[in-house]
Amino acid sequence: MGQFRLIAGTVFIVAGLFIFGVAVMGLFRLRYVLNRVHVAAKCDSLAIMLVCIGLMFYAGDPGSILKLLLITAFVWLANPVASHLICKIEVETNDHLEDECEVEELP
Amino acid sequence: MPILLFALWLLFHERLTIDVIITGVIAVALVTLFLRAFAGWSVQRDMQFASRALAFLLFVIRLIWEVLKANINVIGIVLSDEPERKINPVIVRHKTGLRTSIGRVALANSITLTPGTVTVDVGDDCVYVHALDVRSCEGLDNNPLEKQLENMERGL
Repeated sequence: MGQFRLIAGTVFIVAGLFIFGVAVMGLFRLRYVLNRVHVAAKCDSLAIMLVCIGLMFYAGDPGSILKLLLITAFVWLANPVASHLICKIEVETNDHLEDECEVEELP
Repeated sequence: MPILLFALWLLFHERLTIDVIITGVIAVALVTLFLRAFAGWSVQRDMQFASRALAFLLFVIRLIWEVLKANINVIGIVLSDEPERKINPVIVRHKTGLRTSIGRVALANSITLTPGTVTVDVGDDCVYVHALDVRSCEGLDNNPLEKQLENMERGL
């Protein structure tokens, strides 16, 4: 494996892990579920993309690269849907939503 | 679509032998028949989607850029001291001109992935959005991603 590929892959993976770490920290520092979802929805998608790019540098052959691309595409499709369902259930079941945030109009 | 499915089949096998090709052709034919019967698949629709491949690629590149900005925003909030004080969450209703359901789904997903906003519910002509801050709602009204989706939807 070339020196360049090793360094580039490591940089991307470490950046992805840093963002995962920030996401976990955010989950504990924010108090309300609708605020926590912001962290979970955004950081995870970018972190999984960075880790997959890093692994692409490590792997190097086209088959593995395409499979890693598929993993990224799946997470980018599934992550917003899951966050959206969590939000929807919270909004529909919480009777005291106004205490947590201003509500302009409810679904 | 059949070509894409067959490419996916070969990708999962990672070798090109006669038995893989034969089973692949049979499986792809079955899946294509199923899609035609239950999901409204036709060659014309594939052509319509294929003609928008370039626009879709531009959309994805733009989406990655927006996700990067969103992450810098969220990391800033998380690493600041007392993050709860910095935010002013609000739920708003955002009207959209997108007519097809796939367009609205793409819009809802991209809103969730863009800075400060998460989609709560999708209605017939609107999406309900939870925003971390009132300021991030202003970006919703002239969202470049929504314009790109409207262009892609035209004539579909």
